[in-house]
Amino acid sequence: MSRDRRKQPREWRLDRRTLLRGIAGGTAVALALPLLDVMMNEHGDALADGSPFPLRLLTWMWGNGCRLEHWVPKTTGPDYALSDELQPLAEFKSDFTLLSGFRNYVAGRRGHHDGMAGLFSGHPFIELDPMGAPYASKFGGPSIDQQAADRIAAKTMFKSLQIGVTKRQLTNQGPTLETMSHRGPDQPMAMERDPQKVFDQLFTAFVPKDGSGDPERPLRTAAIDAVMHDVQRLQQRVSTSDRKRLDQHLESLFDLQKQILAIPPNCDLPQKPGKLDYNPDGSEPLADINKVMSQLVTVAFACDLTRVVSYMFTAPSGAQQYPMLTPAAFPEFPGASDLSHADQHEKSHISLDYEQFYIHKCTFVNMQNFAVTLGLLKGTVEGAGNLLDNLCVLCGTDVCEGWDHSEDDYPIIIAGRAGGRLKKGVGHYRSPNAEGLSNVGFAVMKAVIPQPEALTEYGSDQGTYHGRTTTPCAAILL
Amino acid sequence: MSLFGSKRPSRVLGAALAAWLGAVAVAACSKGETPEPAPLDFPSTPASAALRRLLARQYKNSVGYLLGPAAAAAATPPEDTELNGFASIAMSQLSLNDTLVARYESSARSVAEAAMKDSARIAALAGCKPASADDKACFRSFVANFGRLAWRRPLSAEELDDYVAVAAKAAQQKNDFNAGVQYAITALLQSPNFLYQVEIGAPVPDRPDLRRLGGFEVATRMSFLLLDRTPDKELIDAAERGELESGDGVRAWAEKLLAEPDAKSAMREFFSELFVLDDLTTIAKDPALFPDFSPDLAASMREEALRLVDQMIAGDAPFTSLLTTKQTFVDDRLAAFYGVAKPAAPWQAVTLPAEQGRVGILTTAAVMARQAHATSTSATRRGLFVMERFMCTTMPPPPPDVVTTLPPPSSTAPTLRDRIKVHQTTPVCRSCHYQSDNIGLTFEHYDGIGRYRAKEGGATIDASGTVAGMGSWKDPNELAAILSQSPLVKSCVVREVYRYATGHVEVDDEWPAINDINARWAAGGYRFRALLVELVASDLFRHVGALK
Repeated sequence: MSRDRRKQPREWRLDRRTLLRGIAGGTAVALALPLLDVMMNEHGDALADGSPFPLRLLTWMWGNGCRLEHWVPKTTGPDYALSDELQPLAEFKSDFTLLSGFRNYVAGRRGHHDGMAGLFSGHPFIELDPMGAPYASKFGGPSIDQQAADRIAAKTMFKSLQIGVTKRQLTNQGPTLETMSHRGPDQPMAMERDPQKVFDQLFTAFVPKDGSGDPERPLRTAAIDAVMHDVQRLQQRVSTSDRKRLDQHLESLFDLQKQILAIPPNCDLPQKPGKLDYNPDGSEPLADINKVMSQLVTVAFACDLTRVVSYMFTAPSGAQQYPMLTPAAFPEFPGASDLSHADQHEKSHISLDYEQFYIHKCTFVNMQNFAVTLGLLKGTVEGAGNLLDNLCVLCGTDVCEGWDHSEDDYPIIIAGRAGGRLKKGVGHYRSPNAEGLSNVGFAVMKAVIPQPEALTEYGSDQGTYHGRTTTPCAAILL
Repeated sequence: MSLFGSKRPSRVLGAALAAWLGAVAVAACSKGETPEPAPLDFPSTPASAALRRLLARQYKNSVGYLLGPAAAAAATPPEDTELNGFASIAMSQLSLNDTLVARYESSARSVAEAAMKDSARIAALAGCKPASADDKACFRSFVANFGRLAWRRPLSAEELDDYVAVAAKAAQQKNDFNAGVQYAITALLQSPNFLYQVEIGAPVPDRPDLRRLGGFEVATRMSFLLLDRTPDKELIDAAERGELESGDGVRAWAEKLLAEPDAKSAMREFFSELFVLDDLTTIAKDPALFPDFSPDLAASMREEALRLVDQMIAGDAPFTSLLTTKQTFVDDRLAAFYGVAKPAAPWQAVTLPAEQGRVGILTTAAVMARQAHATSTSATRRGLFVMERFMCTTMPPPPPDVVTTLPPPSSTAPTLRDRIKVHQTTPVCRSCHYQSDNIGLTFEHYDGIGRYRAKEGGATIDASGTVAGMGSWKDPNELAAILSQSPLVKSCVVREVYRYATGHVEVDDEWPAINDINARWAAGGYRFRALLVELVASDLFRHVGALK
C-alpha cells in the first residue's frame, strides 16, 4: 500500500448523488425507487450525462451440488427444454445462460473445498496442516467478488456486501468453507446472516437531512486517525507477516474513513425487517430470510450503495435442513420417512432412491429461492430495462454431486446482461471439451469490470492444481 | 502407519513417541524440587509471536471489566472464526478487513455511549474534576488511567498526545467534557493495542533465536488464558512491580487467578471448544427418530459435560478423571433422558445405571449426540473425535471420487458394525478407518442422541475393539482406562492447551519445552490446574521466537 493513501481523506460525494437527489423522500417503500427518467438520457439506456449504468456482480451459491440426472437438460441451444431442477426458473429462461460440462481443474484434494476455490476464485486453495486438528484450508487468492470489487473501485458506500441466508455451516474446516468472499488467503470476509444487521449496515449511515449535517463524522474520523497512528507505530515493532496483516488493517481503516465521510445517496429507506432466526424446532425460515435478504440486496444495487455482492443461500457441504420437504413433497414415495429435519449433507451420502430423490428436491428448493432473487432484480426498473440488464449473476455450488464429490460437470447459471457484455439467447451451452471453471470466472470478470481488455489472465496454478487461464468462456461473453 | 493415520505420520508419530517416552523418563527425575532452568539452558526455540486478535468473548469480558456490565452488553465485536481446531489460532493468522473494522468501530461507539451512563466509574477512571469542557490535563489523566488498563500497559507520551487530541476535539465541538471522554474511549477501544495481544518481548543475551516477554505481556497472556479477559488492575500493578519476571512469580499469580470466578467460565470455554460442544444446541437431529431431542435438551447435555469439567478443576483432580469418572450431573430433562430419579436440586450429582456402561466425558449424551449423524450414530466421527481431541492424531479426508455412502440396515447387516465392514475389508478405506472405526464402534450402545440402547435393530451390539499399539478393550470403560493411562493422551492435552494458549500449532522446535511441561505436570499427578500453572510459569510461555 502506498503511503499517500494514508493521507486524511477529504469529504467526497458519491458519483450518483446529484442524480438520485430527485427521488421523492418521505414514504418508506419496500423496494428502492428506480432512477428517475430525468436522470436518463432520452433513450433511457444511459445516465443523463452519457455515462453508462453501473455494472454489478452478484455471486449466488447453494451448497452441496445437485443431481445431475435431474439438472442437465437433455437438449442444448436457445430452445432447450428445462430440466426438472430448473423448472422454478422457467419465468426467467430468457434471462440466463445455463452452462454444463464444465470441469474444475483446481480440484483433486478435498470435496467442497475444491469447488469453493475453483468456482469462486480461480486460485487453488491453500491446505492448512491439520496437525491433529480437523482438515482445514484457506483460499489461495482473492475470491472473484473481491477481485471485481477492487477493479470496479466504485465510490459506493460499500465496496462489497457479504450476505448469508442460512446460519448452518461448518465452522471447523477453515475459511474456505465459511465464506464466499476472501480478500486474500488471510482475509476471509464473514457473511452477514442477520437481515436486521444487513439493514443497519446499509441504512443506519443514512442521514435523513441533507448536507454535511452529521456532527459525529469528523469526530469519528479523528478517532480513526489516532488508531491509524497506533497501527503505524506497531508496524515498526512486529514481524514481516504481522506488518502485512497490519497493512490490511490500515487499508480497512482508511476505507472506513472514506465511508464515514461519504455523503450517502438520497435513497428511500425500506422498512426494517423483523427478526428472523431459527424456528423453535431448530429449523430455519429459509424462504423468508431469502426473500428479505434478496430485497435488501436489490435496494443496495438500485441505490448504488454497492456494486458487488456475494450471497450464500446454503453453505458449502450443505449441513442443511429443508423444513419444507415433508413427506407431502414426495408423492412418488408414499409412506416415506420424514426428512424435513434431516441433514442434507448426510442424506447426500446415502445411495438409496428416496434419499437421492430428496437431494434432487433440495436442488429444486434452491432454485425456487434463486428465482425469488432473480424476480426482485428483474422487477426493479432501471432506465428502459431492469437491474438484470446491468448485472452479472454467477450462480453455482461447491461440488457437482455431493455423494461422490464429483468435479467434472458443474451446475452453473449466468444471469443478467452486464450492460450488453454478456450474450443473449444462448440458452443451454454444454462444453464439448470439459472447459475449465476459471474460464467462466474470467468471462464474468470481463463482464463487469472497467477496461475489461486490460485483464489478460485469471486465477493461478499451484503444482498440479490449475486455476490460471487466459481464455474467457466464449459461450457467454460477447 | 494405520495406527495414527496421519498425513504426516513421521512427524506426528515421532513427536508422540518422544512425548510418550520422554514423559516417563523425565517424570522419574523431576520429583521434589523443580529448579527454575536458567534461560540459557532453555532447550527450545518457540515460534515467533503473531499479533492475536481478541476472541469475541474476550473482547466482551474485557469491556465488562473495564467499563461495567451495561457497556459489555452494548459490545458487538465480530464473531470468531476457527482454524486448526481453535478460534485463537485463527485470530493469530487472519487479518482484519473492511467489515470487521467497521464492526469494531460501531462496537466501540456503542460501548462508549453506554459507558458514559456510569458517571461514577468514569469519574474514578479520570481521577480528576474537569476545570473546563476541554480540560486537557484531566483528559490526559483519563487516557493514562483507562489506557493503561485497556492496553494492558502504560501509554507513551506520544500515544497520550494522540488520544488527548481526540478527546479535546470532541469536547470543543460539543462544549462538553464528557463528549471528550466518550470519544477517547471510542478511539482507545479501536486501537490495535486493545484489539490484539501484542507479544513482542525483548532480546535475550546470547540467544538470538529468543525474545523474552515483559511483565505486561506475560500478564496479558496469562489473564486471557486463565480468565478470558484483560488483566485486572492488580495484575498490571504486579507486572509493573516486576513480579512477573520469574517463573515463581508467575506461578504465584497463576494460582491467584485460578481462584477467581472468571477462571471457571474461561476453562468452560476451552473445554467446550475442545469437545466441540459450542454448537450443540443448533445441530440437526431427525425428529421422527429422535422426537425428544430439542435445543433445551441439548443445552442440558452441554451443561452436564461442562459440569464434569467444573468438578475436575474445582476438585483439583487429574485430567484423566474426566475420562474415568463414574459420576455425572443431571437436571430434570437429563434425569428423564438417562432414566434416573428427578434431582432434588436443579442440578445434582448422580451415578447412572450400571447396565448403560457410561464412563466419563466420552459417553456423555453431549459428546455422543454431537459426534453422530442426524439420523444415526457414527463410528467414524466418534472414533475420530477420540483420536483428534485426546490423541492429537487425525486421518486424511476420503480420496476424491470415492463413493462414501454406506449400505442401509438390512436383515443380514443389522448393526453399524456389519455395515461398515467395508471400511475394514477394503484396503483404501481400511488404511484410514482402521483406528477410528475400531474406537468409535465401542460407543454403539449410545444412539444418535446419546440415549442408551441394549440392542441395534434387534441384534446384539459388540462394543469391543482392538487397535494395534493401543490394545484391546471390551467396552467404553476399558477404553477409557486405556486412554487414561496413555502417555499420548496426557501429552496431547498439553499440546491442546498450548495451542489454545498461544494461538499456534506447536512447531518441532518447541517439543523439548512442551515435554518439560508434560513432565512437571506428570510429577504433580496430572492435575489439570497444575498443567495450567506449569504452562504459564514455563520458559516456553514466557518467551517467543525472534521476529521474522
